[in-house]
Amino acid sequence: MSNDLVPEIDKHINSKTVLANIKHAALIVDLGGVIARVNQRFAQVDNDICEGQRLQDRFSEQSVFGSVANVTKHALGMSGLHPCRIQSKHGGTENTFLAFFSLLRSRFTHKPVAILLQIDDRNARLAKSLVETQKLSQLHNSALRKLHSDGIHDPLSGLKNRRFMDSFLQMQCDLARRQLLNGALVIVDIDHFKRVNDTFGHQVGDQVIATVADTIRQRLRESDIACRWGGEEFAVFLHNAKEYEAISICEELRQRIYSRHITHNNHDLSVTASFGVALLSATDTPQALFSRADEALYVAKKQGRNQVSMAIQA
Amino acid sequence: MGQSKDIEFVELNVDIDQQRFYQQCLLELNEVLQSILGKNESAAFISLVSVRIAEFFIKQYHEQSGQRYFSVTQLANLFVDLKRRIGGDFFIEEVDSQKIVLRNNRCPFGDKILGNTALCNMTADVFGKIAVGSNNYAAVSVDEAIARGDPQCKVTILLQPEEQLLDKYKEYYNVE
Repeated sequence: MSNDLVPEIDKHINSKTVLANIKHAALIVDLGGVIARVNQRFAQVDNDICEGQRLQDRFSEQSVFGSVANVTKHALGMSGLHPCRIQSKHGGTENTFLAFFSLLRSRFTHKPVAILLQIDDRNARLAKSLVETQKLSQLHNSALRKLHSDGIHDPLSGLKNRRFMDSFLQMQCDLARRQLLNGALVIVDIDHFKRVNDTFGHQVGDQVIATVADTIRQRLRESDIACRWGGEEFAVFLHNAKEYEAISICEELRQRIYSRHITHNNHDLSVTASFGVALLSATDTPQALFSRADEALYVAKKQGRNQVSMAIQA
Repeated sequence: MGQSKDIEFVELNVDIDQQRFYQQCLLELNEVLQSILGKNESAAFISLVSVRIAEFFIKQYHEQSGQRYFSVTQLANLFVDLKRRIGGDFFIEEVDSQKIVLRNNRCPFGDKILGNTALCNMTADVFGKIAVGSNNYAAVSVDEAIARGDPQCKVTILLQPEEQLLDKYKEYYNVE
């Protein structure tokens, strides 16, 4: 395509020199929107672009300006570099580029003569690299989340582990000292668990632990925290629970555990559990709270197991 | 299980409030743009934001004053008022048909602006875009800046094109 614009524009600016000094894909378009000169690198952005074509036939503007005409208008309005985002009309929707445009003025009359449009392909590469980095980062975060999750969960029961409960109870005690906070710590111990292990083997023992854990998990509210404290013992923190609510939840849990059956070699196996409950007080330390719940559990065991016992309030 | 120490957060002398938060957002945003895109490219983005802010400001002044165009003196007073409203302390040093010269004792971006002159261009863009709405042409230069370590800012707004315009000026035209 022949181009009569270049000689006219070159009376005012040296368009070749202007483009030669630009490292990125760039073109010069006259004020009527016709492409006057394109540098070689532009072929990487648009293979078929050539001088004499209308810029708006090759690209649309996708950001705040909305059209190539508005880009020109903005450039005429103030000196300096302005950003925009252009999209190739021939390369699919993924072919959008960050671009910068500026007004070119006559060396002699200082009047506006053309617009210089630079495609920041460095930034296009950077954007691509950012997307890749983000993907890597997501993988990394997911691995970290798993590591963190592994670090606070008990693998057999799927409940939180003792380390998590230690720090959680510390936090609750700290909070209870500063504000009115209702809560209860419950220690749940599977009755005669050693007998299960000895009679049916450790595999069945593990199955019992997992079943009791599952029963606890199903009954608890979202805000409650349950952990496997160790062996056949679980610790549960009931948020915003007063004495009546704590006992009621524990009673229901006790019955649910008793009702759950584990099938082993065509035999139904059921277990019971004992509960020790202690209400959180403003002066509690984790050790004191746990100690009261443990004493209550001892009472439940001593009084015949398969029951809930409430500790004397601190 | 050790006990954690009680901290009265409300009594800590941390330098955070709503204004500081907004200032810091802008400073950080500018720094991120500069470091990722480059200084010129970042300035181009900030400039685009400034133009939109200028349009917002000018609309307010048009609506509230009932005037579409302002005289040179009114423009100078408008700039001082605008800056006062956003935390600056500007005053008029010189006004005539050729130019407006303003000075400023307090940067609206706060004292953390020191060393960060990029945001001074926002002032130039806002003044320039507002001025061309009434005058058709403006060229703005921030000659002195608190952000550069000067005791005051000095902003010159030329209202007539000059034959040999110095590079420090950014030009604005009315293309409506």
